[in-house]
Amino acid sequence: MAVDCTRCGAPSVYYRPYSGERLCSHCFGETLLERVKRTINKHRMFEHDNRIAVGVSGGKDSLTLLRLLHMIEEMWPNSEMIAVCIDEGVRGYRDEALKIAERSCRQLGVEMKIISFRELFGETMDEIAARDRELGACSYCGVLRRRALNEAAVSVGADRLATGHNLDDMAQTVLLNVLRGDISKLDGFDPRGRELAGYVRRVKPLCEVPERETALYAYLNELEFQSVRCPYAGEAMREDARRFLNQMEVKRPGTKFTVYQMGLKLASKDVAVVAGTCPACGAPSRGGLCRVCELTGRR
Amino acid sequence: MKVKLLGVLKNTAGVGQLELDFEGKPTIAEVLEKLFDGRANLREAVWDSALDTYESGALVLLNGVEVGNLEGVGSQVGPGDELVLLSVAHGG
Repeated sequence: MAVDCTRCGAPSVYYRPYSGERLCSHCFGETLLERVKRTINKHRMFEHDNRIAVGVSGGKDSLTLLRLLHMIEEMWPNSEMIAVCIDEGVRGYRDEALKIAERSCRQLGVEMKIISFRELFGETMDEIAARDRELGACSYCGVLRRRALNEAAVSVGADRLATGHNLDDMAQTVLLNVLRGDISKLDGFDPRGRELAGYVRRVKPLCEVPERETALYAYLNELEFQSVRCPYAGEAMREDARRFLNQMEVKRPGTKFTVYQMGLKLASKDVAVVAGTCPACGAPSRGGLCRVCELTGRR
Repeated sequence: MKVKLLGVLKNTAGVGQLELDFEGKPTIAEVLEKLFDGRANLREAVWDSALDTYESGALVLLNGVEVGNLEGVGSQVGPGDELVLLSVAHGG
């Protein structure tokens, strides 16, 4: 028998280990909405009249973000929201996700724009994955998807790009960079994003929401779940970091928040800054070719 | 009792919903053991053998209540109950 909700006394559906709260479905959703609003305010992610491109993959995190931002954005009549979706060209996996994204956007009355790897880079992720390559598929996809999201945001005239990175993603990034001994890569960690020429400022409003809770929110709000796993998923080191952090979180609730907070402190130390622009495409780079041009062989 | 597998777990198990019969009132741990029998991929996707728990990578809900809010996998289930399993880690 479930005990009462800590906030309203209704039957609870969820025990939140890191805070000790027991929450009913309604209060659970309210606490996520409040946390996202607080995160947006704390990091000054938006202005009242932003045109916000929301990166929607069709997965639970981005659908949760879309829904929460839609609720928040309704309170700000001068702001606008548009969903931007990237078709990497992963047969089966992305087809299903785009259909889910399309249905969710239609349900909320949010305009949606799709842009593909083929349009931008001349080849699909399936084609990239099939060729001889030095790096794992996720390394290519991550870099190209970031660029594609920016291109999509620019093309719809957005002045903010919101992505569905959650607390787990953030904590994994910190741990990965520490394990690789390269905390200079944390210069892009700040969830409020940075102003860079040619780049739409990228913000991460779910950065303090654990992945477990975006999954629960999606379930409780009857959002659709992808049934197809990305065939290229499983970048070894990130999976290791994910497993380790998930296990630590079970043993010591609050670990992910602690690691994330450490990441914020490290990122604020100005350990590295973008030094120049890519000579091939003009995008910001640390000097020399940017990662996109390195990976796609553009010179 | 009814067991629903959502998201990628549906593909992992090759089935989205199934009925399992028990005598008496088994615990969720016993239901999961029966569910995983002959489905090694599903066990691997849901169960963290190092910590002996589902909590590190999945959500388990009994009649809409996350079982961490009940008595965990020691909670008892009856014939009309519905158990939902959902993977947390994939499909961001």
